[in-house]
Amino acid sequence: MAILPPNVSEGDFESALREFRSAVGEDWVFTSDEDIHAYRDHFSYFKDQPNELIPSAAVGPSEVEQVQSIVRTANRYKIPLYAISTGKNFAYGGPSPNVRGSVTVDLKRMNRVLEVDASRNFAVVEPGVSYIDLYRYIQDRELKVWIDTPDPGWGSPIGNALDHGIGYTQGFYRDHFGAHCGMEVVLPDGEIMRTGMGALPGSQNWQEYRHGYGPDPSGLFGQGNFGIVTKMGFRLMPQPEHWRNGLITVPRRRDFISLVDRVNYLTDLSIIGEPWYGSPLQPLVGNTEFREAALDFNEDEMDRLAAAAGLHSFQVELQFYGSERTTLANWEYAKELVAREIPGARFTDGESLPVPLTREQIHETTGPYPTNMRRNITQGVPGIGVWYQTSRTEQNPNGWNETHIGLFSLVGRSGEAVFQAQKDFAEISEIVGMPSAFPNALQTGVNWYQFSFLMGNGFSVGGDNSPEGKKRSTEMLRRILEENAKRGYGDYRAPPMLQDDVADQYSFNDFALRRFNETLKNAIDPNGILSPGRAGVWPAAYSSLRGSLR
Amino acid sequence: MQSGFAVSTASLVLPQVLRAESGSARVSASSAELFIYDERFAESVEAAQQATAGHIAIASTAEVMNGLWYDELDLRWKEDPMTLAGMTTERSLFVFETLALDRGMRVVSRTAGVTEDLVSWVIGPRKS
Repeated sequence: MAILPPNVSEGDFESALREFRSAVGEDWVFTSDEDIHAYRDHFSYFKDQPNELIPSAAVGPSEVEQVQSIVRTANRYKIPLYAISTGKNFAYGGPSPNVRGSVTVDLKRMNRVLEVDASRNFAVVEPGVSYIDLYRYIQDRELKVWIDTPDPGWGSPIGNALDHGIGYTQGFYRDHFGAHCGMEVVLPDGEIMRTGMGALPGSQNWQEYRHGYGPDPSGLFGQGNFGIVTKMGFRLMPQPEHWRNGLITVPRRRDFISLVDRVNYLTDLSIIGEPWYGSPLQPLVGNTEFREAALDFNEDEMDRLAAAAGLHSFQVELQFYGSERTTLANWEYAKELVAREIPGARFTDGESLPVPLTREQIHETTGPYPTNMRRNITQGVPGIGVWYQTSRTEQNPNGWNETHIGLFSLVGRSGEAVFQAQKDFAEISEIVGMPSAFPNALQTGVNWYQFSFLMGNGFSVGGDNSPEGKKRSTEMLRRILEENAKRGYGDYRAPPMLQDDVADQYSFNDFALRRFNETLKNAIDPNGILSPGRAGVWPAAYSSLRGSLR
Repeated sequence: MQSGFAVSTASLVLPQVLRAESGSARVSASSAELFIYDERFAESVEAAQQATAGHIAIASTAEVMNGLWYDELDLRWKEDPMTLAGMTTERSLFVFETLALDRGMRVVSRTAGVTEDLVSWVIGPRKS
């Protein structure tokens, strides 16, 4: 399946490959179908179609100087590059490039943990280090710091942070880009730049003061295409002496509003870690009477049926980090705060564990309530089980989903905003003819980012995996994004096939933000070689490809 | 059933079902040091029993996903390119394939349709 980069002759491509081999060694330039297979998005809606985003080759540097050399060669031959760290990011395009025929720069071999300081609480890593690698490095040395891991934890801190990925411990650390401190970047012309205090030769504070002096361009490299990040620092949470969790349920639907207010208060005082909302009413979805009430957003009727079933309407699980006494005191305070505002609220003590956890405690699957799927990630322990477990049912023991995709909109961090989004998303499902997989009235926000909720539209697009079926599903997803934007909802992340659609949501003042970014892009990367089109930022050299996947 | 990595049996023969499928691979199932099975499927359990009879170490997908991969498999792969074989769901294979790619390994043989839900496979060194 030999393909060429766009507008590059076979001869020039061969010359470029020779230069790549000279830079990284014969063994680390990949062009065979078997090797290229590893750089496909196995969940792509375009898999095996002529427009599938497949690279023409992959190059695996092990040193930053090799990255510089690759970038310079690409400039010479005007070959688009697409850099990946460990190439996970499943649901958001995986390792696949933005432009078919790009050369993937696979940074897996740059896999050194350069520093972990357990007194000043930071780490510096290369792109090929995974969360699992970093966790193992810390555990092996019994360092008293925690990582904040996504789930599964096989991706890299750099790759995840650069795609604005998230985790599950305390608020500051959950925002992985927000928790970074200092980066080293190979710019499109091959030059190396360091941000923040890294720009000051001899600085002792690269991982402690992020801003340096003057404009800080760090944000350009998050979901950006302005450079290849080759080192990055991250703030780490000091290892707490104790971890504890607890569950709060509230009886009536409208209690959710007060619940969110109280939890926001606790969150923003850094008393709790990630709050995990849900609804205990899921068992009633099979009840026709309840389902109809939920689909109609008939709150009185939902409350009546919930009470009749002895169920509460909403719940939140809270995590506490500190000493045994402070975590207990904070849990008691959380209970008191909610009980004061919400009559009938119930409280269930969760687990209470001293830290460091033993491997037996990490693998323990029982608890006062079923949280094991999430427990480890709230303790900064990376795993892979979530990938294996999710979607498997008795009816579908394989659990394979050909078109795994992530789409989450930013929603206001209040109960009222969640209720409004529930109604909006239900209405949008009707408009686009894509039925919700469950009553939107039971949906809650996820509080991955401390100061905002994310919510999915709740659609179900599975079923028809024929090329025509996938095309129809893609068109529906695009319509959903359009309708979301009309109501003020923007997505925070997207796979390449939807990047232009999400970028279109951010249209204030005739796309002033995009025009600004593209002005910068054209100045910094005149040949447009670095990830053209990433997040909808198209350089002039490839602007004809904007929207080409529609 | 036996689990873990206690037995290293590079020269022993894997079940017929695997040998037939991996004949063209540069690294064959017969050089596997560990066989992965899915305890929910009789065909997979039977293949694991045959592997055990051939002195191949075995582990269930559940064991691997719940920590064996971290405590043993990943460490082994960091040291040397140990070959794995298995009969699992596509979803489980995806996990093994993803982990393998990070350690310079890849799927060298893949046969879908063993049953409606199962695929048999071999993971070996990327460069072989």
